[in-house]
Amino acid sequence: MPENYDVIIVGGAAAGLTAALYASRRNLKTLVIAKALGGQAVLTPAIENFPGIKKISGIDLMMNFAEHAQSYGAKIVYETVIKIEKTQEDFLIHTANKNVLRKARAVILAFGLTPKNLNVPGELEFTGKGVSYCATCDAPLYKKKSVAVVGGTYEALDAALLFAKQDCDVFLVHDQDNFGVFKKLFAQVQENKKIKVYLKTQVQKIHGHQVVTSIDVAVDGKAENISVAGVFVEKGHRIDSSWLGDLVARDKTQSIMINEECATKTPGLFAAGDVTQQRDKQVIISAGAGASAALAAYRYLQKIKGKPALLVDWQHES
Amino acid sequence: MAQEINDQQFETEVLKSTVPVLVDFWAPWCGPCKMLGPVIEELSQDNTGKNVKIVKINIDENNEMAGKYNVMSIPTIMFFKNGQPVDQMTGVQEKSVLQAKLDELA
Repeated sequence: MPENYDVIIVGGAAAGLTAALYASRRNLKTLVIAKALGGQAVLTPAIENFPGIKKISGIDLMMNFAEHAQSYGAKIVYETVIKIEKTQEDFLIHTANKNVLRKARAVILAFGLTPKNLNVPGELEFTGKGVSYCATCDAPLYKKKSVAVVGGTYEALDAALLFAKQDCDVFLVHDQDNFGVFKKLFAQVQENKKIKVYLKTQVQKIHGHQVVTSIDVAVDGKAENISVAGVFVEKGHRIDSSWLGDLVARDKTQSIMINEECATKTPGLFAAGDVTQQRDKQVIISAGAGASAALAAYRYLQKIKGKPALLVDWQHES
Repeated sequence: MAQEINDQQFETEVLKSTVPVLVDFWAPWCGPCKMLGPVIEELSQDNTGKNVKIVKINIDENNEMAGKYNVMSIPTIMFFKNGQPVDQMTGVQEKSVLQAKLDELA
């Protein structure tokens, strides 16, 4: 027998946890299914633009979000959703845990972004053995070693400076010839003697024996081998929504398309936060979107039950 | 609560354990490690009284074993049986995956 919920939220970061708070405060039986809590926010040592809190670590802010939602009855389980099935009245939610099947009248998608891979030989084999996607997590394990940072993002520049501070020999590898708008930070990188910048350079292969030992790169078409103990991938993020099949419409960036009610093209299926076409990827904006999605899901559930959507925030006087 | 151990206790608690052991290598500066924390705690509660052991080691204070077992990314989860590492996973893992591995080893 499937477990029954009013709302199931896929994802446990700013959007998902705020949706859980709002849904549970509307007395909806609410479940959050997340591989882990916090999303990208937990990689941020200090968040200084969340109104009302001058400075807080991403971890603490996300833990507060989770506790707040749980205090109103929302339940959280740590699993990965692999398939959503639409039936006549409900959604069936399948996770990697084959022992449990869950059912909900409404679903909110809030699973955020996935780090981009390099897609080169050796990447998968040496993930966790020198290949890493979290410089702030693993930098202290590479003190005084040689590392490559790959990517053209703000995070790539920031990671290069972080490793330089740890006395590492840093090779910053980027396939373009500039770092776009991050000119100031790039200038700092260029001034740093511990960092060697490779522009117009592609990583082609990661070598190792049990752990990473070197990388092959093509510098403007010319092959070179660089000895490194670590390869930090900072190429930005992508939206991985392919597993949703035809349940949602996507734009050219693969973002899930929603309307002003946070609704996708499938009735009862809502989305919020970084997985949607929302342009700015910020905790405060995702949190707001999560609240909107939960209230929209509440109105949807009231409607299908034939009840009025009570507790509106305001009423237009005609 | 998952038992927190140090480098000195590693031999007794992990290598000489008569039951399979899950070791969570973590550090306080690592966001994903902290996010995995509640999963490890739940796993620990679920397995109370079973023939497995779940321990955590803070590599910020204890880097000897992390070095010995080539921990290069955290969180790293290693499984030990009869004093030998038999499997490992890096990054945040879901509870059912960890439980399945424990059940396989028990």
